[in-house]
Amino acid sequence: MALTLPDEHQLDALRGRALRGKDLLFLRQWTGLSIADCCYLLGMPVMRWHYYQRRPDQLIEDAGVALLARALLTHPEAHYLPAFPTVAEVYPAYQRALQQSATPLPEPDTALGLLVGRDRASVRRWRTGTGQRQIPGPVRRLLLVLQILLRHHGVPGFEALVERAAFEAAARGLDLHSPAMKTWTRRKPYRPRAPNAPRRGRPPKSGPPVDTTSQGQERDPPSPATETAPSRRGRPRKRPPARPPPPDSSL
Amino acid sequence: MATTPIPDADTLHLDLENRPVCGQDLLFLQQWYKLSRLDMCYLLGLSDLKWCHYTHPKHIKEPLGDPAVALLVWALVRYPDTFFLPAFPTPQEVYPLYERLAEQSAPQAGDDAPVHLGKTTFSLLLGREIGSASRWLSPTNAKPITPTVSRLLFVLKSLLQAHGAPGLEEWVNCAQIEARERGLDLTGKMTSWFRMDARPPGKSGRRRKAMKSPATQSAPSHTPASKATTTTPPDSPPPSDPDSFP
Repeated sequence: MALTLPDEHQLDALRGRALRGKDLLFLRQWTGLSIADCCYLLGMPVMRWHYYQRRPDQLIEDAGVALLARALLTHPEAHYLPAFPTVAEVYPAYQRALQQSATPLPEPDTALGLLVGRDRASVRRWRTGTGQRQIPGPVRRLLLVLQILLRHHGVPGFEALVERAAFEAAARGLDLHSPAMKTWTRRKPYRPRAPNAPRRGRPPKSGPPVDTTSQGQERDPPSPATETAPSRRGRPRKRPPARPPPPDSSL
Repeated sequence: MATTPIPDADTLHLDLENRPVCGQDLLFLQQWYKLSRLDMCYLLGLSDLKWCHYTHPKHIKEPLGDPAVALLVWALVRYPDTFFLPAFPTPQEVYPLYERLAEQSAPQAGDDAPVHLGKTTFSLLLGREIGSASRWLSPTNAKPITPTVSRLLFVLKSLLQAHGAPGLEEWVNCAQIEARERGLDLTGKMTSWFRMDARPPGKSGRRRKAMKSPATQSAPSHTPASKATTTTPPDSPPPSDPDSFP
Protein backbone atom coordinates (compact mmCIF):
# COMPACT_ATOMS: atom_id res chain seq x y z
CA MET A 1 0.00 0.00 0.00
CA ALA A 2 1.38 3.38 -0.92
CA LEU A 3 0.27 5.65 1.88
CA THR A 4 1.45 9.01 3.05
CA LEU A 5 1.73 9.86 6.71
CA PRO A 6 -1.50 10.81 8.42
CA ASP A 7 -2.18 14.36 9.51
CA GLU A 8 0.85 15.68 11.39
CA HIS A 9 -1.19 17.15 14.24
CA GLN A 10 -2.96 13.88 14.90
CA LEU A 11 0.30 12.02 14.71
CA ASP A 12 1.94 14.38 17.21
CA ALA A 13 -0.84 13.67 19.65
CA LEU A 14 0.00 9.97 19.52
CA ARG A 15 3.72 10.31 20.08
CA GLY A 16 3.69 10.94 23.79
CA ARG A 17 0.93 8.61 24.93
CA ALA A 18 -0.20 5.00 24.73
CA LEU A 19 -2.71 4.10 22.03
CA ARG A 20 -6.39 3.78 22.84
CA GLY A 21 -9.42 2.24 21.21
CA LYS A 22 -10.24 5.38 19.25
CA ASP A 23 -6.78 5.34 17.65
CA LEU A 24 -7.64 2.09 15.90
CA LEU A 25 -10.56 3.89 14.30
CA PHE A 26 -8.16 6.62 13.23
CA LEU A 27 -5.93 3.99 11.63
CA ARG A 28 -8.88 2.51 9.81
CA GLN A 29 -10.08 5.86 8.51
CA TRP A 30 -6.62 6.87 7.39
CA THR A 31 -6.00 3.60 5.52
CA GLY A 32 -9.56 3.58 4.12
CA LEU A 33 -10.04 -0.05 5.06
CA SER A 34 -13.24 -1.84 5.95
CA ILE A 35 -13.55 -3.22 9.47
CA ALA A 36 -12.87 -6.74 8.23
CA ASP A 37 -9.77 -5.64 6.34
CA CYS A 38 -8.55 -3.61 9.30
CA CYS A 39 -8.93 -6.67 11.50
CA TYR A 40 -6.80 -8.62 9.08
CA LEU A 41 -4.27 -5.80 9.14
CA LEU A 42 -4.00 -6.04 12.91
CA GLY A 43 -4.43 -9.81 13.09
CA MET A 44 -7.43 -9.78 15.38
CA PRO A 45 -11.01 -11.02 15.11
CA VAL A 46 -13.86 -8.62 14.35
CA MET A 47 -15.31 -9.23 17.79
CA ARG A 48 -12.15 -7.79 19.29
CA TRP A 49 -12.43 -4.74 17.06
CA HIS A 50 -15.88 -3.97 18.41
CA TYR A 51 -14.62 -4.56 21.94
CA TYR A 52 -12.05 -1.81 21.48
CA GLN A 53 -14.53 0.49 19.76
CA ARG A 54 -16.87 0.26 22.72
CA ARG A 55 -14.00 1.51 24.89
CA PRO A 56 -12.55 4.36 22.82
CA ASP A 57 -10.71 6.03 25.70
CA GLN A 58 -9.28 2.93 27.32
CA LEU A 59 -5.82 1.58 26.66
CA ILE A 60 -5.65 -1.20 24.11
CA GLU A 61 -5.31 -4.30 26.25
CA ASP A 62 -3.21 -6.25 23.82
CA ALA A 63 0.11 -4.43 23.78
CA GLY A 64 0.97 -6.18 20.52
CA VAL A 65 -1.99 -4.54 18.77
CA ALA A 66 -1.05 -1.16 20.24
CA LEU A 67 2.57 -1.48 19.09
CA LEU A 68 1.47 -2.63 15.65
CA ALA A 69 -1.03 0.19 15.17
CA ARG A 70 1.54 2.73 16.27
CA ALA A 71 4.18 1.34 13.92
CA LEU A 72 1.74 1.33 11.00
CA LEU A 73 0.72 4.92 11.69
CA THR A 74 4.26 6.22 11.91
CA HIS A 75 5.80 4.06 9.19
CA PRO A 76 3.47 3.87 6.20
CA GLU A 77 6.22 2.20 4.18
CA ALA A 78 5.92 -0.88 6.40
CA HIS A 79 2.34 -1.62 5.38
CA TYR A 80 1.89 -5.10 4.04
CA LEU A 81 -1.62 -5.31 2.61
CA PRO A 82 -1.91 -5.62 -1.15
CA ALA A 83 -3.22 -2.64 -3.09
CA PHE A 84 -6.26 -3.72 -5.03
CA PRO A 85 -6.44 -2.07 -8.46
CA THR A 86 -9.40 -0.09 -9.70
CA VAL A 87 -11.36 -1.09 -12.81
CA ALA A 88 -9.77 1.82 -14.67
CA GLU A 89 -6.33 0.40 -13.91
CA VAL A 90 -7.16 -3.08 -15.15
CA TYR A 91 -9.26 -2.07 -18.14
CA PRO A 92 -6.45 -1.25 -20.63
CA ALA A 93 -4.77 -4.64 -20.08
CA TYR A 94 -8.17 -6.33 -20.40
CA GLN A 95 -8.82 -4.58 -23.71
CA ARG A 96 -5.44 -5.58 -25.09
CA ALA A 97 -5.99 -9.21 -24.09
CA LEU A 98 -9.44 -9.11 -25.65
CA GLN A 99 -8.09 -7.83 -28.96
CA GLN A 100 -5.47 -10.57 -29.14
CA SER A 101 -7.70 -13.34 -27.87
CA ALA A 102 -9.19 -15.94 -30.14
CA THR A 103 -12.20 -16.24 -27.85
CA PRO A 104 -14.65 -13.52 -28.82
CA LEU A 105 -16.97 -12.10 -26.21
CA PRO A 106 -20.25 -10.41 -27.09
CA GLU A 107 -20.39 -6.75 -26.13
CA PRO A 108 -16.74 -6.75 -25.04
CA ASP A 109 -16.91 -3.32 -23.44
CA THR A 110 -19.19 -4.55 -20.71
CA ALA A 111 -18.16 -8.22 -20.63
CA LEU A 112 -15.57 -7.43 -17.96
CA GLY A 113 -18.45 -7.08 -15.51
CA LEU A 114 -19.45 -10.68 -16.16
CA LEU A 115 -15.85 -11.88 -15.99
CA VAL A 116 -15.56 -10.54 -12.46
CA GLY A 117 -18.85 -12.09 -11.41
CA ARG A 118 -21.09 -9.05 -11.65
CA ASP A 119 -23.48 -7.56 -14.21
CA ARG A 120 -22.58 -5.74 -17.40
CA ALA A 121 -23.83 -2.37 -16.20
CA SER A 122 -21.47 -2.35 -13.25
CA VAL A 123 -18.39 -1.77 -15.44
CA ARG A 124 -19.49 1.68 -16.55
CA ARG A 125 -20.49 2.55 -13.01
CA TRP A 126 -17.11 1.49 -11.64
CA ARG A 127 -15.13 3.16 -14.42
CA THR A 128 -16.86 6.47 -14.04
CA GLY A 129 -16.94 6.25 -10.27
CA THR A 130 -20.66 6.95 -10.17
CA GLY A 131 -23.04 5.21 -7.86
CA GLN A 132 -23.10 4.89 -4.14
CA ARG A 133 -21.95 1.35 -3.82
CA GLN A 134 -18.28 0.49 -3.60
CA ILE A 135 -16.74 -2.38 -5.48
CA PRO A 136 -17.46 -5.54 -3.48
CA GLY A 137 -14.57 -7.26 -1.69
CA PRO A 138 -14.42 -10.41 -3.83
CA VAL A 139 -14.50 -8.31 -7.03
CA ARG A 140 -11.62 -6.13 -5.85
CA ARG A 141 -9.58 -9.24 -5.20
CA LEU A 142 -10.57 -10.77 -8.52
CA LEU A 143 -9.44 -7.59 -10.28
CA LEU A 144 -6.04 -7.97 -8.63
CA VAL A 145 -5.88 -11.62 -9.64
CA LEU A 146 -6.89 -10.70 -13.19
CA GLN A 147 -4.16 -8.07 -13.28
CA ILE A 148 -1.53 -10.58 -12.14
CA LEU A 149 -2.92 -13.20 -14.52
CA LEU A 150 -2.65 -10.88 -17.51
CA ARG A 151 0.82 -9.77 -16.49
CA HIS A 152 2.21 -13.25 -15.87
CA HIS A 153 0.27 -15.43 -18.28
CA GLY A 154 -0.92 -13.05 -20.99
CA VAL A 155 -3.61 -14.05 -23.45
CA PRO A 156 -3.62 -17.79 -22.62
CA GLY A 157 -4.29 -16.94 -18.98
CA PHE A 158 -7.07 -14.59 -20.01
CA GLU A 159 -8.65 -17.20 -22.27
CA ALA A 160 -8.52 -19.72 -19.46
CA LEU A 161 -10.42 -17.29 -17.24
CA VAL A 162 -13.04 -16.68 -19.95
CA GLU A 163 -13.43 -20.41 -20.40
CA ARG A 164 -13.85 -20.91 -16.68
CA ALA A 165 -16.36 -18.09 -16.41
CA ALA A 166 -18.35 -19.71 -19.23
CA PHE A 167 -18.22 -23.02 -17.35
CA GLU A 168 -19.42 -21.48 -14.10
CA ALA A 169 -22.17 -19.69 -16.01
CA ALA A 170 -23.27 -22.91 -17.69
CA ALA A 171 -23.43 -24.60 -14.28
CA ARG A 172 -25.88 -21.88 -13.28
CA GLY A 173 -27.96 -22.28 -16.44
CA LEU A 174 -26.47 -19.21 -18.16
CA ASP A 175 -24.57 -18.64 -21.40
CA LEU A 176 -21.61 -16.28 -21.16
CA HIS A 177 -21.26 -16.14 -24.92
CA SER A 178 -24.79 -14.88 -25.37
CA PRO A 179 -25.38 -11.13 -25.51
CA ALA A 180 -28.57 -11.81 -23.58
CA MET A 181 -26.60 -12.59 -20.45
CA LYS A 182 -26.53 -9.31 -18.61
CA THR A 183 -26.07 -10.58 -15.09
CA TRP A 184 -25.27 -13.73 -13.12
CA THR A 185 -28.70 -13.77 -11.55
CA ARG A 186 -30.95 -16.21 -13.28
CA ARG A 187 -34.52 -15.08 -13.58
CA LYS A 188 -37.34 -17.52 -13.15
CA PRO A 189 -39.07 -18.43 -16.41
CA TYR A 190 -42.26 -16.51 -17.11
CA ARG A 191 -45.37 -18.35 -16.03
CA PRO A 192 -48.74 -16.83 -16.85
CA ARG A 193 -51.17 -16.52 -13.96
CA ALA A 194 -53.92 -19.09 -13.72
CA PRO A 195 -57.38 -17.60 -14.31
CA ASN A 196 -58.60 -18.00 -10.73
CA ALA A 197 -55.29 -17.54 -8.97
CA PRO A 198 -55.06 -14.63 -6.55
CA ARG A 199 -53.32 -11.53 -7.78
CA ARG A 200 -49.75 -11.18 -6.76
CA GLY A 201 -48.59 -8.02 -5.18
CA ARG A 202 -47.19 -6.50 -2.07
CA PRO A 203 -48.77 -7.63 1.16
CA PRO A 204 -50.68 -4.95 3.00
CA LYS A 205 -48.59 -2.75 5.27
CA SER A 206 -51.11 -2.79 8.08
CA GLY A 207 -53.91 -5.09 9.05
CA PRO A 208 -57.54 -4.52 8.10
CA PRO A 209 -59.26 -1.63 9.85
CA VAL A 210 -60.56 -2.50 13.27
CA ASP A 211 -64.27 -2.35 13.70
CA THR A 212 -64.79 0.16 16.49
CA THR A 213 -68.19 -1.22 17.30
CA SER A 214 -66.70 -4.56 18.37
CA GLN A 215 -64.18 -3.02 20.76
CA GLY A 216 -64.22 -4.57 24.19
CA GLN A 217 -65.84 -7.70 22.86
CA GLU A 218 -64.07 -10.95 22.49
CA ARG A 219 -62.55 -11.36 19.09
CA ASP A 220 -63.61 -14.11 16.80
CA PRO A 221 -61.25 -17.00 16.70
CA PRO A 222 -59.55 -17.06 13.32
CA SER A 223 -61.11 -19.31 10.80
CA PRO A 224 -58.84 -21.49 8.65
CA ALA A 225 -59.33 -19.05 5.82
CA THR A 226 -58.31 -16.02 7.82
CA GLU A 227 -55.48 -17.90 9.52
CA THR A 228 -53.67 -18.34 6.29
CA ALA A 229 -54.54 -14.89 5.03
CA PRO A 230 -51.36 -13.10 6.20
CA SER A 231 -49.12 -15.50 4.34
CA ARG A 232 -51.01 -14.97 1.09
CA ARG A 233 -50.04 -12.35 -1.36
CA GLY A 234 -52.28 -9.82 -3.02
CA ARG A 235 -55.01 -7.54 -1.90
CA PRO A 236 -56.40 -8.37 1.54
CA ARG A 237 -59.73 -9.95 1.60
CA LYS A 238 -62.66 -8.25 3.14
CA ARG A 239 -63.34 -9.44 6.62
CA PRO A 240 -66.21 -11.89 6.74
CA PRO A 241 -69.26 -10.77 8.66
CA ALA A 242 -69.15 -11.38 12.38
CA ARG A 243 -70.25 -14.83 13.34
CA PRO A 244 -71.41 -16.13 16.66
CA PRO A 245 -68.59 -17.56 18.76
CA PRO A 246 -68.02 -21.26 18.22
CA PRO A 247 -69.05 -23.68 20.91
CA ASP A 248 -66.50 -24.17 23.62
CA SER A 249 -64.43 -27.18 22.75
CA SER A 250 -64.05 -28.12 26.39
CA LEU A 251 -67.71 -28.90 26.67
CA MET B 1 3.91 -13.46 -1.66
CA ALA B 2 3.97 -17.15 -0.85
CA THR B 3 5.51 -19.54 -3.33
CA THR B 4 3.23 -22.51 -3.06
CA PRO B 5 3.08 -25.19 -5.74
CA ILE B 6 -0.12 -25.99 -7.52
CA PRO B 7 -2.42 -27.96 -5.21
CA ASP B 8 -2.39 -31.65 -5.80
CA ALA B 9 -5.79 -32.16 -7.36
CA ASP B 10 -5.96 -35.84 -6.54
CA THR B 11 -5.08 -35.38 -2.89
CA LEU B 12 -7.49 -32.56 -2.32
CA HIS B 13 -10.25 -33.78 -4.65
CA LEU B 14 -9.97 -30.53 -6.55
CA ASP B 15 -11.45 -31.84 -9.77
CA LEU B 16 -12.49 -28.36 -10.78
CA GLU B 17 -12.29 -29.19 -14.48
CA ASN B 18 -15.55 -31.07 -14.26
CA ARG B 19 -17.64 -29.17 -11.76
CA PRO B 20 -18.26 -25.64 -10.50
CA VAL B 21 -16.50 -24.39 -7.39
CA CYS B 22 -18.34 -25.50 -4.24
CA GLY B 23 -18.12 -24.71 -0.56
CA GLN B 24 -15.82 -27.65 0.12
CA ASP B 25 -13.19 -26.15 -2.17
CA LEU B 26 -12.82 -23.21 0.20
CA LEU B 27 -11.84 -25.64 2.93
CA PHE B 28 -9.43 -27.43 0.64
CA LEU B 29 -7.87 -24.13 -0.35
CA GLN B 30 -7.53 -23.21 3.30
CA GLN B 31 -5.88 -26.53 4.02
CA TRP B 32 -3.53 -26.21 1.09
CA TYR B 33 -2.27 -22.75 1.94
CA LYS B 34 -2.39 -23.47 5.70
CA LEU B 35 -4.43 -20.37 6.39
CA SER B 36 -6.62 -19.38 9.29
CA ARG B 37 -10.26 -18.41 8.83
CA LEU B 38 -9.29 -14.77 9.24
CA ASP B 39 -6.81 -15.15 6.39
CA MET B 40 -9.30 -16.97 4.19
CA CYS B 41 -11.99 -14.36 4.69
CA TYR B 42 -9.52 -11.65 3.73
CA LEU B 43 -8.20 -13.63 0.78
CA LEU B 44 -11.67 -14.06 -0.70
CA GLY B 45 -13.21 -10.83 0.56
CA LEU B 46 -15.84 -12.70 2.54
CA SER B 47 -17.52 -11.83 5.77
CA ASP B 48 -17.36 -14.40 8.55
CA LEU B 49 -21.06 -15.04 8.10
CA LYS B 50 -20.64 -15.76 4.39
CA TRP B 51 -17.73 -18.07 5.12
CA CYS B 52 -19.87 -20.02 7.56
CA HIS B 53 -22.65 -20.24 5.00
CA TYR B 54 -20.42 -21.56 2.23
CA THR B 55 -18.62 -24.07 4.44
CA HIS B 56 -21.70 -25.28 6.29
CA PRO B 57 -22.16 -29.02 5.81
CA LYS B 58 -25.57 -28.31 4.30
CA HIS B 59 -24.16 -26.12 1.51
CA ILE B 60 -20.74 -27.64 1.09
CA LYS B 61 -21.59 -29.43 -2.12
CA GLU B 62 -23.45 -26.53 -3.68
CA PRO B 63 -21.94 -24.10 -6.19
CA LEU B 64 -20.99 -20.84 -4.53
CA GLY B 65 -23.63 -18.15 -4.67
CA ASP B 66 -21.17 -15.45 -5.68
CA PRO B 67 -19.52 -16.21 -9.04
CA ALA B 68 -16.73 -13.74 -8.22
CA VAL B 69 -15.67 -15.92 -5.28
CA ALA B 70 -15.91 -19.02 -7.46
CA LEU B 71 -13.65 -17.49 -10.12
CA LEU B 72 -11.27 -16.25 -7.44
CA VAL B 73 -10.94 -19.72 -5.93
CA TRP B 74 -10.42 -21.25 -9.34
CA ALA B 75 -7.71 -18.72 -10.23
CA LEU B 76 -5.90 -19.25 -6.91
CA VAL B 77 -5.94 -23.01 -7.43
CA ARG B 78 -4.98 -22.95 -11.09
CA TYR B 79 -2.45 -20.10 -10.90
CA PRO B 80 -0.79 -20.08 -7.46
CA ASP B 81 1.35 -17.11 -8.51
CA THR B 82 -1.78 -14.97 -8.23
CA PHE B 83 -1.85 -15.57 -4.46
CA PHE B 84 -1.61 -12.11 -3.00
CA LEU B 85 -1.49 -12.45 0.78
CA PRO B 86 1.70 -11.13 2.37
CA ALA B 87 4.21 -13.67 3.64
CA PHE B 88 4.98 -12.82 7.25
CA PRO B 89 8.44 -13.64 8.56
CA THR B 90 9.08 -16.10 11.37
CA PRO B 91 10.84 -15.16 14.62
CA GLN B 92 13.83 -17.19 13.41
CA GLU B 93 14.14 -14.84 10.45
CA VAL B 94 13.91 -11.62 12.43
CA TYR B 95 15.77 -12.45 15.63
CA PRO B 96 19.32 -12.56 14.15
CA LEU B 97 18.80 -9.10 12.64
CA TYR B 98 17.48 -7.79 15.93
CA GLU B 99 20.38 -9.36 17.83
CA ARG B 100 22.96 -7.83 15.49
CA LEU B 101 21.46 -4.35 15.77
CA ALA B 102 21.03 -4.69 19.52
CA GLU B 103 24.79 -5.10 19.85
CA GLN B 104 25.31 -1.84 17.98
CA SER B 105 22.91 0.23 19.98
CA ALA B 106 22.08 0.89 23.57
CA PRO B 107 18.62 2.37 23.40
CA GLN B 108 17.71 4.68 26.21
CA ALA B 109 14.20 4.16 27.38
CA GLY B 110 13.31 7.80 27.80
CA ASP B 111 15.89 9.38 30.06
CA ASP B 112 16.44 6.29 32.19
CA ALA B 113 18.88 3.43 32.16
CA PRO B 114 19.44 1.55 28.92
CA VAL B 115 17.24 -1.40 28.09
CA HIS B 116 19.03 -4.70 27.87
CA LEU B 117 18.15 -6.01 24.43
CA GLY B 118 18.12 -9.74 24.77
CA LYS B 119 15.72 -12.54 24.04
CA THR B 120 13.33 -11.56 26.80
CA THR B 121 13.09 -7.98 25.58
CA PHE B 122 12.49 -9.29 22.07
CA SER B 123 9.31 -10.94 23.40
CA LEU B 124 8.23 -7.77 25.18
CA LEU B 125 8.87 -5.65 22.09
CA LEU B 126 6.41 -7.89 20.27
CA GLY B 127 3.76 -7.43 22.95
CA ARG B 128 4.22 -10.80 24.62
CA GLU B 129 5.68 -12.07 27.88
CA ILE B 130 9.38 -12.69 28.39
CA GLY B 131 9.37 -16.44 27.87
CA SER B 132 7.71 -16.31 24.45
CA ALA B 133 10.84 -15.80 22.35
CA SER B 134 12.49 -18.88 23.85
CA ARG B 135 9.50 -20.93 22.79
CA TRP B 136 9.33 -19.39 19.32
CA LEU B 137 13.03 -19.88 18.74
CA SER B 138 13.22 -23.38 20.14
CA PRO B 139 15.09 -25.48 17.57
CA THR B 140 13.23 -28.66 18.46
CA ASN B 141 9.70 -27.60 19.31
CA ALA B 142 9.04 -24.08 18.06
CA LYS B 143 5.66 -22.81 19.20
CA PRO B 144 3.32 -21.07 16.74
CA ILE B 145 2.87 -17.32 16.93
CA THR B 146 -0.33 -15.31 17.00
CA PRO B 147 -1.43 -13.36 13.89
CA THR B 148 -0.65 -10.04 15.58
CA VAL B 149 2.89 -11.14 16.39
CA SER B 150 3.46 -12.31 12.82
CA ARG B 151 2.43 -8.86 11.58
CA LEU B 152 4.60 -7.16 14.18
CA LEU B 153 7.53 -9.23 12.99
CA PHE B 154 6.90 -8.02 9.44
CA VAL B 155 6.86 -4.38 10.47
CA LEU B 156 9.83 -4.74 12.84
CA LYS B 157 11.87 -6.46 10.14
CA SER B 158 11.04 -3.72 7.60
CA LEU B 159 11.92 -1.06 10.12
CA LEU B 160 15.23 -2.66 11.10
CA GLN B 161 16.18 -3.21 7.48
CA ALA B 162 15.29 0.35 6.50
CA HIS B 163 16.53 2.29 9.53
CA GLY B 164 18.98 0.01 11.34
CA ALA B 165 19.87 0.71 14.98
CA PRO B 166 17.94 4.02 15.16
CA GLY B 167 14.85 2.11 14.02
CA LEU B 168 15.30 -0.33 16.89
CA GLU B 169 15.77 2.51 19.36
CA GLU B 170 12.57 4.14 18.16
CA TRP B 171 10.71 0.85 18.58
CA VAL B 172 12.00 0.49 22.14
CA ASN B 173 10.91 4.03 22.96
CA CYS B 174 7.43 3.38 21.64
CA ALA B 175 7.21 0.20 23.70
CA GLN B 176 8.34 2.13 26.76
CA ILE B 177 5.54 4.70 26.27
CA GLU B 178 3.00 1.89 26.09
CA ALA B 179 4.51 0.20 29.14
CA ARG B 180 4.57 3.30 31.33
CA GLU B 181 0.88 4.02 30.87
CA ARG B 182 0.25 0.48 32.04
CA GLY B 183 2.30 1.10 35.15
CA LEU B 184 5.18 -1.00 33.84
CA ASP B 185 8.79 -0.28 33.08
CA LEU B 186 10.70 -1.85 30.24
CA THR B 187 14.01 -1.21 31.97
CA GLY B 188 12.88 -2.94 35.15
CA LYS B 189 11.86 -6.48 35.78
CA MET B 190 8.91 -6.54 33.48
CA THR B 191 7.81 -10.12 32.89
CA SER B 192 4.75 -9.49 30.80
CA TRP B 193 2.50 -6.64 29.71
CA PHE B 194 0.35 -7.18 32.79
CA ARG B 195 2.79 -7.36 35.64
CA MET B 196 6.22 -6.56 36.92
CA ASP B 197 8.37 -9.07 38.74
CA ALA B 198 7.72 -8.23 42.38
CA ARG B 199 10.46 -10.42 43.83
CA PRO B 200 13.23 -8.86 45.86
CA PRO B 201 16.50 -8.45 44.00
CA GLY B 202 18.74 -11.50 43.90
CA LYS B 203 15.95 -14.06 43.88
CA SER B 204 14.95 -13.78 40.26
CA GLY B 205 16.44 -17.14 39.31
CA ARG B 206 14.70 -19.20 41.98
CA ARG B 207 11.50 -21.04 41.53
CA ARG B 208 8.88 -21.24 44.18
CA LYS B 209 8.26 -24.86 44.97
CA ALA B 210 5.00 -24.15 46.72
CA MET B 211 3.40 -23.07 43.46
CA LYS B 212 4.31 -26.27 41.69
CA SER B 213 2.37 -29.46 41.77
CA PRO B 214 4.23 -32.79 41.70
CA ALA B 215 3.07 -33.33 38.13
CA THR B 216 4.56 -30.08 36.88
CA GLN B 217 7.74 -30.28 38.89
CA SER B 218 9.25 -32.78 36.55
CA ALA B 219 8.16 -30.92 33.42
CA PRO B 220 10.64 -28.40 32.03
CA SER B 221 9.51 -24.83 32.35
CA HIS B 222 10.64 -21.81 30.39
CA THR B 223 8.78 -19.32 32.49
CA PRO B 224 10.57 -17.88 35.44
CA ALA B 225 8.60 -18.00 38.62
CA SER B 226 6.90 -14.87 39.65
CA LYS B 227 5.18 -13.71 42.77
CA ALA B 228 2.41 -12.31 40.70
CA THR B 229 -0.83 -14.04 41.42
CA THR B 230 -2.14 -14.05 37.89
CA THR B 231 -2.21 -17.44 36.26
CA THR B 232 -2.02 -16.29 32.67
CA PRO B 233 -0.59 -19.07 30.53
CA PRO B 234 2.67 -18.28 28.79
CA ASP B 235 2.47 -16.44 25.50
CA SER B 236 -1.14 -15.66 26.00
CA PRO B 237 -2.86 -12.46 24.95
CA PRO B 238 -5.03 -10.57 27.43
CA PRO B 239 -7.32 -12.76 29.49
CA SER B 240 -10.40 -11.81 27.54
CA ASP B 241 -8.63 -11.79 24.23
CA PRO B 242 -10.17 -14.22 21.78
CA ASP B 243 -7.11 -13.69 19.64
CA SER B 244 -5.46 -16.74 21.08
CA PHE B 245 -5.66 -19.16 18.26
CA PRO B 246 -2.33 -20.18 16.77
